[in-house]
Amino acid sequence: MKRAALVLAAVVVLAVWPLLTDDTFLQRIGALVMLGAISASAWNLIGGYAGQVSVGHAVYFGAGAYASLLVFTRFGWPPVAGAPLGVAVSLALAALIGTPTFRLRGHYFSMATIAAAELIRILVGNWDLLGAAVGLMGPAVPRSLADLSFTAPLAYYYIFGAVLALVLAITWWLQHGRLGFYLRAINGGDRAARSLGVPVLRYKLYALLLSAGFTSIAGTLYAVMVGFADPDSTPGHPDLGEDGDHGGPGGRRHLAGPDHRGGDSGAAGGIAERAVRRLRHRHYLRGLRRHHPARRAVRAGRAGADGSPHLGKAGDPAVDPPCLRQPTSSRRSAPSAPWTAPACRSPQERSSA
Amino acid sequence: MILLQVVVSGLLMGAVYALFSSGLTLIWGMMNVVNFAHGDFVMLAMYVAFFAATLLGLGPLFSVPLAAAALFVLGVVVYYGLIRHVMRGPMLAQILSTFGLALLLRYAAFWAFSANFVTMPASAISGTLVVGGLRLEAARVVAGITALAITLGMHLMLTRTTLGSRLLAVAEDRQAAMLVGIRPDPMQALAWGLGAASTGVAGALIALFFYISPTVGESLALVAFVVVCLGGFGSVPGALVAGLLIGVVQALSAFWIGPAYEDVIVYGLFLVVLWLRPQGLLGRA
Repeated sequence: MKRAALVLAAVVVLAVWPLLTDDTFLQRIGALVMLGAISASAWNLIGGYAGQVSVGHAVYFGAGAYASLLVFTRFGWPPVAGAPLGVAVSLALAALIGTPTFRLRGHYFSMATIAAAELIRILVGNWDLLGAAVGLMGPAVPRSLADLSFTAPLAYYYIFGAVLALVLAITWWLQHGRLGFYLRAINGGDRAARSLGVPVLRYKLYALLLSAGFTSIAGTLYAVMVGFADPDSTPGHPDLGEDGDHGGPGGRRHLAGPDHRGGDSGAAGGIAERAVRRLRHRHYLRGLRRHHPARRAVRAGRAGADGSPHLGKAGDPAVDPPCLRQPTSSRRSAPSAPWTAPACRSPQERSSA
Repeated sequence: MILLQVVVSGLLMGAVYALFSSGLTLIWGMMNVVNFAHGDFVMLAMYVAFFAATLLGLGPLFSVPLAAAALFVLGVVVYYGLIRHVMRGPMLAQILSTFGLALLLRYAAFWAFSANFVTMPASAISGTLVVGGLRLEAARVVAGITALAITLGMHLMLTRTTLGSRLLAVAEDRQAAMLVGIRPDPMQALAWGLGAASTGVAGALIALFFYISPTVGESLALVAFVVVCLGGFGSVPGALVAGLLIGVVQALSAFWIGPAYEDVIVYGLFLVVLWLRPQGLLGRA
């Protein structure tokens, strides 16, 4: 309740403060913060929930920015009409980059995303259709309202804010669905997740596709506001620092809470988060079990129909490995073998012991 | 003949790649932390050499050791100030901390040294050598041979000395090393120091024939990743072979396809190797 009030207060402050100042510099910063927050929420889907640290998200940001300016320069359409093209290209690129790289874990995945991004940046910088090293320009003067070209940054602030709200709403909705539980399971550990029947590679790819699509939209909004894109300012730049992912790590804290170990979080994050984490964690495991293929099959009364290889009762290690058992009251009464305990520790815990 | 010329220049460049990549592979092999700031260490070393030449008037004979010493200190400081604290944390923290360090160094360099491209004063090592019909830039020859010697020296240090054995012991099994009385902390700090010092030497050598700018580290860092992945992580001989290979691949693709695309081939090769043989061409599974 208190949390809802805090969130509401934050929303009201965010909506009202730009009206209280006529400093356009501040308003412009505000608009860029909103844009950063959109990129960050998008990155959060793959980097936060699924725990796959992509440092090549600038590619998708650039795809969105370039697509919008490309439809303007080639067909004279309003830049924002390029958003679907940008999303389509981003999804294609994400599938192309993600399908092979998700077999890699940890550092290797991060390095592969950097290399792919840098590779694409060089190609874009030498491709005449995309303006090569010079880049592409948007409309110099607004032709109609559809160009979304305003002199007042306030307009961008509210457009970006609305898109951010939409992205956050979608994220919130996904978080409570199967995707959210699966991603957090993957974050907890690839192998453990797979042993619970989570199709790991497929769900990592879904997360990346969603993330790439949202990032591309952020790129389009950037191009609409700035009216310019070149290889160094937008796509493929391995910096988290250049526009796109700038918000990534910073915004992650704002949007998802600083918790990346397994449990996850809603829109506020912070100390209260930690207090409820235990409860949350239990909830998350229950959700994971609920969405387990075997469970679903049993519920539907047709065990095995979905081709799940291992069906078993709760407590069967294949379905319910000891590491993920929760010490709920019912389980505590059935003591688990003491020698299973070390397997439950993560590598980090083991090295610090 | 021209092909031979291209291959030899590639080998000379490759030797420098091998040098700073062996620093990355040492750090990576020791504690499984990827130093995303490695390229920016090279960039800093280039500036150290540049200012040693312009402000103090030092030639490469002095600026190379100076840069190595400066970067050694930086590496140790980074280890105690940053890496030691994030090493046991989640991988996300490790990646973001070294990535953040890279951005900090890069943009601090923009701030301190401005974004202009600079080059070493011409007095350094200049001119061309003609060896058996091959025309070679003197600075590249000096850089290539020095880098090769130091990489080999690092390999010998790791395999033939007590200190090297201690380093490898910590790399192999931290707890077992502690059991035989090796304190892992100084060893890991030393690995960071040596890894950074290798970038110091490499940076000061590259500065002899390359432009210097705050962003020069980016592509060099990627080259180092490629070399380390090809060579298998933690292996200095692997880094040496892979470095030379990458130098030649880069030179040949610049020659056949065009200089703009030389890195495309290298990064493409990197992705293919990551997908097909993540343990590296020479690495063990």
